[in-house]
Amino acid sequence: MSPALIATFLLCYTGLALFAASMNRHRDAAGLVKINRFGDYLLKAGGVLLITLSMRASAQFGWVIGIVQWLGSVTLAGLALTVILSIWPRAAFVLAVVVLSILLVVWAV
Amino acid sequence: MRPPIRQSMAWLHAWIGAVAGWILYFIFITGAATCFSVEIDRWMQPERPLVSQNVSQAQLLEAGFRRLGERAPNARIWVVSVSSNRDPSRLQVLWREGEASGNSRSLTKTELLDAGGNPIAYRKTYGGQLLYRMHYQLHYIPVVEARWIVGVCTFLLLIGAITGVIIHRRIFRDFFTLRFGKGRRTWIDVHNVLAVFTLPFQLMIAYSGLLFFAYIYLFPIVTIAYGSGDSSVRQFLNDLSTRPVVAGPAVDAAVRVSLPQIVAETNRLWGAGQVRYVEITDPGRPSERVAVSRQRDGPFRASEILVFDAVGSVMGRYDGPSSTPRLINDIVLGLHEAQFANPPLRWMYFISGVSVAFSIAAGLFIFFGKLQSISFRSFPIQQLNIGIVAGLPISIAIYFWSNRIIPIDLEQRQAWEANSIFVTWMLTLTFALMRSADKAMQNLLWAASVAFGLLPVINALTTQRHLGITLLRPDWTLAGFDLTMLAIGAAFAFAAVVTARSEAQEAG
Repeated sequence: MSPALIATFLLCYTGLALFAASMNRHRDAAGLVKINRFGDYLLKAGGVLLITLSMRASAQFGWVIGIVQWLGSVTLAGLALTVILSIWPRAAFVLAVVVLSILLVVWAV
Repeated sequence: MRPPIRQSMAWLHAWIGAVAGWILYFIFITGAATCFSVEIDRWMQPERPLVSQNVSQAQLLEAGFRRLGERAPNARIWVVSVSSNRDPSRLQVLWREGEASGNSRSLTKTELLDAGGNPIAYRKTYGGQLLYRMHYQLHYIPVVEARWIVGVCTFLLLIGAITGVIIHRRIFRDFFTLRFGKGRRTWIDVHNVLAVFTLPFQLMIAYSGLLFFAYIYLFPIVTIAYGSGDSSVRQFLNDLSTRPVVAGPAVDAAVRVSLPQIVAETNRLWGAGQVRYVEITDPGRPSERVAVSRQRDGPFRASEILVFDAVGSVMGRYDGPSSTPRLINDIVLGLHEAQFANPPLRWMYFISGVSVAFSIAAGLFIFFGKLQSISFRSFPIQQLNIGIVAGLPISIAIYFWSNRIIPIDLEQRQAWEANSIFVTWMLTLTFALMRSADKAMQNLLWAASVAFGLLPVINALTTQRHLGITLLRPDWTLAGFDLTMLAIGAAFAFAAVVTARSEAQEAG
């Protein structure tokens, strides 16, 4: 489990979590505050950014293996997020925030 | 009122699932198991030694050459095969007496050796390779017909995936939606979530899967240049294979070089531990040719090959695909086989494959639930479905049980191991037909949990390769197998408990 693969997976997870956070259905389930349309787009843009960063993380394996690893990571991150969202909605977002902070710290250091 | 296109796509999607669903479920479960076929092979041959950390590839190759020199000095072809990255201690030798260009497989003999070059007496088994073969040519059915069936079902999967996306109106809104405890709605959510997230995997694996036997499905590929019939297909495949053909002058025997020296030269050119196999034609004779094939580290299936003559000079090289069609073929088929994958990627393939299988199972459950209430009043068709779908995992667990339980000296024991899969499947089917749908599901889930969970115990009772020994070594391949069986058993137990609880909720 190389750090790059872990980073890819975690970035995919947080990116998808931002997408989920922009949907009313999941915000309500987690008891989060309502946002307006601009906030909606902002969260989606954040999600796109993180997914793009995850592509960059997997690119260091070379582009053929990198694509395979990225697609695998998105698939599994999506499945994991969906399962956690349906059991503990709040925890899914809390986890995303925690993971994102850890990633930022590791990247800065 | 649904627009007509959604209606027709929904009809198509449902009936494709009905026709191809069970076979595709079988293909995906056995295919997922194939991700670990080499590891399963090792577990099913417990006579093989535990992994040893300190043996280099050069030592293994040398031990193999020594053994071949003793056992088959007059053979026309020797092969020493190691598979370092997934099975570091594996050493297999093959030899063929008689004509070097002959085609008969029965002339080829093989042995598995330990690190010292001594043959290991292991039980006859098809191992994980049976699951791999069944994945594309089923079992009991003639090979060509079976490949046609698998190919048609794969094509139907592609259509099913595309029709599924067309009819899934709220695909983005429902992207992360998974509601538990809602009966039929839950099954639909499970089906959607699993299928949507694995869409890239499904498209890749189905398309690349079709390419393997494209020359069968699109038979003019062969017949236009080679004519029809089995021999023409064989000739076509022969011409396709990437062996560099090198003819050259015979060499003076006095200056011949030894095989270990050739291995040393290979290590100089490629680095240590890069050899996949060494094939020696006409060993010991002036016309000897040594072909060394390299481990693959990417999806390209064709590996580099170096060919040496008897004095150790490099006569030929094959560095990779020689044309763009070959390159595309290599990449596409390589992506499917995932031989190159490191362990995390291999697990990703496995989880994706199992997820698609569960998605298909959920779809079948929805379909037959609806069908049961509309027609089929007197025949328990949902139970038939449950027996088939829940029965397959149980049957595979029993395959592993049978490897430990069937007597070692039984004639054709490997055929009986294979039979045990289908006998068990028939039994689970019959059992399910006699119960109510809910009870059948419950009972079979618990049976699966027990079948997988007890496997490490059976292992401990019948061999010296159980967790008590393999965790201490540590031999992670063998220990990992037992631990995975425990995890699968726990997962089935969890599923059984959740199913029971949601049924109690619906009833009460």
